[in-house]
Amino acid sequence: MQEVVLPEAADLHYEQAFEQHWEDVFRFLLAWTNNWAAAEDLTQETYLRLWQERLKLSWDRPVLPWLVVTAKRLATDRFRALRRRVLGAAAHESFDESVRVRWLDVRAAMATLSPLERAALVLTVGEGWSYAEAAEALATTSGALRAAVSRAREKLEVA
Amino acid sequence: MARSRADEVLDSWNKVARSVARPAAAPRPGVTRSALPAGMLAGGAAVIVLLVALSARAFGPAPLASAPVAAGSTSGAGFTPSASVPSTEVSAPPSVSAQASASTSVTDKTPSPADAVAAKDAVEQYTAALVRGSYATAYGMLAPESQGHWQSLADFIYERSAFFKSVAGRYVIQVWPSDVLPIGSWLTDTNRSLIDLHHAVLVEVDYPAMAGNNAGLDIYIVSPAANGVEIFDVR
Repeated sequence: MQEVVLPEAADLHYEQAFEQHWEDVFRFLLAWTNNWAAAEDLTQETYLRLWQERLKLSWDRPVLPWLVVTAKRLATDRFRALRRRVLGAAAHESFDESVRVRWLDVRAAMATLSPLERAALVLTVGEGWSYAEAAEALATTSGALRAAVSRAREKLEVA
Repeated sequence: MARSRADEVLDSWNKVARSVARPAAAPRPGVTRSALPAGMLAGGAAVIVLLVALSARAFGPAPLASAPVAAGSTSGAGFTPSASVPSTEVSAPPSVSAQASASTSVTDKTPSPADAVAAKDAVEQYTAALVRGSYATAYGMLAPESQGHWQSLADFIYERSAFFKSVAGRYVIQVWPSDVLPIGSWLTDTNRSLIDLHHAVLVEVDYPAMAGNNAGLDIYIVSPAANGVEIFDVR
């Protein structure tokens, strides 16, 4: 039987999810897309999807995996469909010059990796997720995830 | 011990990625698209619901509570159309070669010019209904699957009314927009079996008042249905 979530409680959970995980979702999307503006847009879209689903979710379970799975799906679907427009538009990257220069360097290195390799590396090494957790969120196996992390490291050594 | 190049890159990536500034407020549909305070939106939505109810009572046979909102319903509230006249344009349907150049699994489908005209007309009616505030009419034109993307008609009204305040009554309709990926790429959130890909048409609505904003366009797939056409909101 599906749990009934009161609107007020759902709104509160939603606000907490925003405060606790917005940056996590953004970083995941930045890893997946390697595109700052797209990551910001998709993070917004992910939270709008969470807003739409807030009354149906089981809030007693961690929401971050749901956010990452949804973000990945949106990034894969919508970003692919929009990429001509997104990539063709002027980059809207809202940080100062010193950060921008560093970002351009890092982005170039990370561009040598596939989305799965970037996400696997960032989630497990950067964010501290277990291989099992990251594999589930990325819809792959632990073995494949370990291999992706290993490949990512090898590629970055020569990037 | 020297750090590896991979660790250096990841360290830099982390520092840059953690510099992102979280928005001041959690995104909500109305706030995101209109940048209006939530209180104003809630108040506006309440007024709209009230107006819809009063209008339905004045012009329609049934009050809002019993107004049909299921698939195929077109019983909208009787709003007076706004004075603004939307500009529209119709592009020719794509040639087979144009479609074939794009990577999609539906490149062999060739809707007829009549399909394109019907699709454009449907989206024109849908968008015009939204502009004049006939939200129930617009909602009724959506395919049931697209209606299901919303919690309810009230949710649809809440978001769309706020958004269309920002639109300022101006929109441009393009059939088969040339600068987005073709129809097959937009089916990922939609049940393909519901769409007749031999006759379905991709339609984009741009909102000049929101040019440059990622929310400044909508994309629809219009597919033949038993009673005419159905509109699938795919973006």
